[in-house]
Amino acid sequence: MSTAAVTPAASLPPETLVITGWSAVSPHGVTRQAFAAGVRGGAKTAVKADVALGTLPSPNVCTVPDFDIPGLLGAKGTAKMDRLTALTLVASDGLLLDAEGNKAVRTDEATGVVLGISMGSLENMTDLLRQSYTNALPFHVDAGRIPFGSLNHAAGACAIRHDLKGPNTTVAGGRVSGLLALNYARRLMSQGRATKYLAGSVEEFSAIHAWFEYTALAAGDPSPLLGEGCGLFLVEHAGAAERPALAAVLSIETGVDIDDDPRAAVTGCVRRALNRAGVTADEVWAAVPCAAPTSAGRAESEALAALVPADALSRVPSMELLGDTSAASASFQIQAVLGVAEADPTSSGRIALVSAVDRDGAVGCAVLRLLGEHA
Amino acid sequence: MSTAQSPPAPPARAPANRRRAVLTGLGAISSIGTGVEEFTAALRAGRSGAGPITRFDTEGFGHNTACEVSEFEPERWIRNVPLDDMGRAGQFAVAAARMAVVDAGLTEADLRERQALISVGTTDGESHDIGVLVEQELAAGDPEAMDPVLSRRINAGRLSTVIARELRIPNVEATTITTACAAGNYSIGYGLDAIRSGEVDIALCGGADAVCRKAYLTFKRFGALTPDVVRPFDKNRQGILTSEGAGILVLESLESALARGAHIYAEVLGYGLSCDANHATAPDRVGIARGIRLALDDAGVKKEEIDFISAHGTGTKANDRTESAAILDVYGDAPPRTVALKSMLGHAMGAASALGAIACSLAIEHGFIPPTIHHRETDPACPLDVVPNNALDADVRLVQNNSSAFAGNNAILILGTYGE
Repeated sequence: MSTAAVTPAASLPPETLVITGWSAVSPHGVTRQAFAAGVRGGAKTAVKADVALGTLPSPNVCTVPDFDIPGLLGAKGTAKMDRLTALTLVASDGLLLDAEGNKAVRTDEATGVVLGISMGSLENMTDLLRQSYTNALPFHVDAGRIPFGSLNHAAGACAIRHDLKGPNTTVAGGRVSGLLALNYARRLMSQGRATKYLAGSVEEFSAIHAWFEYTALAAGDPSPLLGEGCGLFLVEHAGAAERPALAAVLSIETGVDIDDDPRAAVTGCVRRALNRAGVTADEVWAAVPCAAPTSAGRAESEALAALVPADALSRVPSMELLGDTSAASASFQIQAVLGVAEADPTSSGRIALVSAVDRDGAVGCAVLRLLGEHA
Repeated sequence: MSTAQSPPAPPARAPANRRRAVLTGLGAISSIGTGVEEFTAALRAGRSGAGPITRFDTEGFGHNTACEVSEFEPERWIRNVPLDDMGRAGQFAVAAARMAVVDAGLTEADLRERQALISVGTTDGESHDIGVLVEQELAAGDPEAMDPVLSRRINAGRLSTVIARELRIPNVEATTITTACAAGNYSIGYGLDAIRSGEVDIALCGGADAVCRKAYLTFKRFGALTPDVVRPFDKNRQGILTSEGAGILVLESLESALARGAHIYAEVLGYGLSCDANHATAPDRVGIARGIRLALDDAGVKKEEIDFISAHGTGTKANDRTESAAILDVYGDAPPRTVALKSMLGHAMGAASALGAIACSLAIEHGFIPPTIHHRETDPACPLDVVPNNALDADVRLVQNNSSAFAGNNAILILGTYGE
């Protein structure tokens, strides 16, 4: 590995996308600190599922602990709120508010929101359908739950909670959605549509999600340990950032595995991302695959192992410890790197890489330069 | 740190040296016609897509009308990916993409060499399949009875990745934009930004949705389904009909289109996105007006120049009143003609504004303004010339295509003749 030159944020081209804040609501807990400490400690998060979830295809889950929705968000408007929206709102509070609950980030009509998902709150959607099939009349469903059935609801609710009137978008791409969201933010900022973005991705655990995943398994794959959570970033342009940059997003590349060869698709995508970032594979200090419990996930890990230095792959504990967090995973991968970096003074200026593969064929890779300053 | 007293941020600034994006291929699958020719003829004739629902059992709903696509033959368009790999929305998306690419005169070899974007908007994705899965679970009393063929294909991301697989495009950013009923315009706007930035040459953009129980029960529960036909901006309008289909547009950099001598339907001049940050389901006059102004600014177009508006125009009391007010807020007392394609097409959800954008392109190409059908008496609260019932021949140079969605998302698109 080459020796890393520490690159101060100030020397970046002004339009470079930089991460200036992040929040995570994860199986490690509802705060960024809990996530960072849990990741650094290599803590396992799997627990026996709550009996209230009913029969599940496998007994263990990686759910967000103590996720008391009215307790975290207040009673107003939360009685019928889906878990996915609640995860998003708690993460948005963590990003924008200080410990006393005051706004700590300046926002305005040019502040955008982009959120990655898989298929929204499957629990809410299937509950409505179940009511339709089983109630006396097929439209006698709980009207108060209907708004939460829109796939864009969580992003819109985030805008309402924090009065964010800029571009508000939801993108679906499963495990790649966190990268699609970041790239969306980057592109719209580059075109002058926003000066600042809340960008990230979210997945909720529910029994129906677990059963869909279970029935969708390819022959031979074990029943997956599923996770959930929401990871959000505050991103700005380096030249206009109002807070210290933690990392620069040097490149985001996505593609589609059109030949049922995920290893080749990931390899090609990572190479393009490194190339666009202007760095070599040897320079990668930390590399974090999504570690999906599928043949594509194993192919992804093999692809990275063949490209980057071996110690880069052991820098950050495996994402398996969080379970398969699906749409939340790519955001959590980047945050795991940031969590490790904030405790390692040698990380500043180093290159980090995350990759993702999804059942629907999408692959993705982001290359970052770590910029965190250490006292 | 408290920031309440901080000065406002400087406005976001658009970069100089943007590349121009033009439309060179159109693929339309709709309840009033499939393919550019049939769709154009239907728009001119003011055809209605309404008919009895065949996709799911409507017993107990006391209503049985939607605008379904009839006689859809996916195997005509989809050759490389097994049809079972996608639900009906995916099949619409892929077939429309194939149609658009053929219309643009692009081969798979052309696409393979280029850096491309695919963005597909949707409201419900494959929610029809999710409904069937729930039905299977309930019938068997056992979730293991759910069909794996369906459970594998329910995530909305597949709507865009499956297009890449079918058209054999590996180096593509494939993103599905799920901003509900504004998603089509969002997707086209994203394609515009990708081309303007110079990062891609070609973008396949639009939207797709399939009639499903979820959408139907939502609007029925809200009392927003019309008992007969859709009458946008009419004094006696009673609501929407759910609908389906797909619209995919080939956006291409002007350089690329000129270099290969492609036919240019129209130029994508700009778009605006605004978020109401106000209410989860109600439309918002201020948010819509702001979206329109942002779009006009982005396009560099004066409002006096707009020849007609293709409204979101759902046919609900709330939407049409609010949207009319927003249009008047921007345009004053003499707004452009404002038509509601949903009178013909029903509400095709994520496909709606994509089909709207195609209709606008065809209006520019062929010199006509499509009508608002089923119109009897314009609501005084919606003082607009809706081009009632009969299409108008007109020289159309600049068009505005509106869309709004639950969650307060507005996306407004501006198209114009190329060469201005």
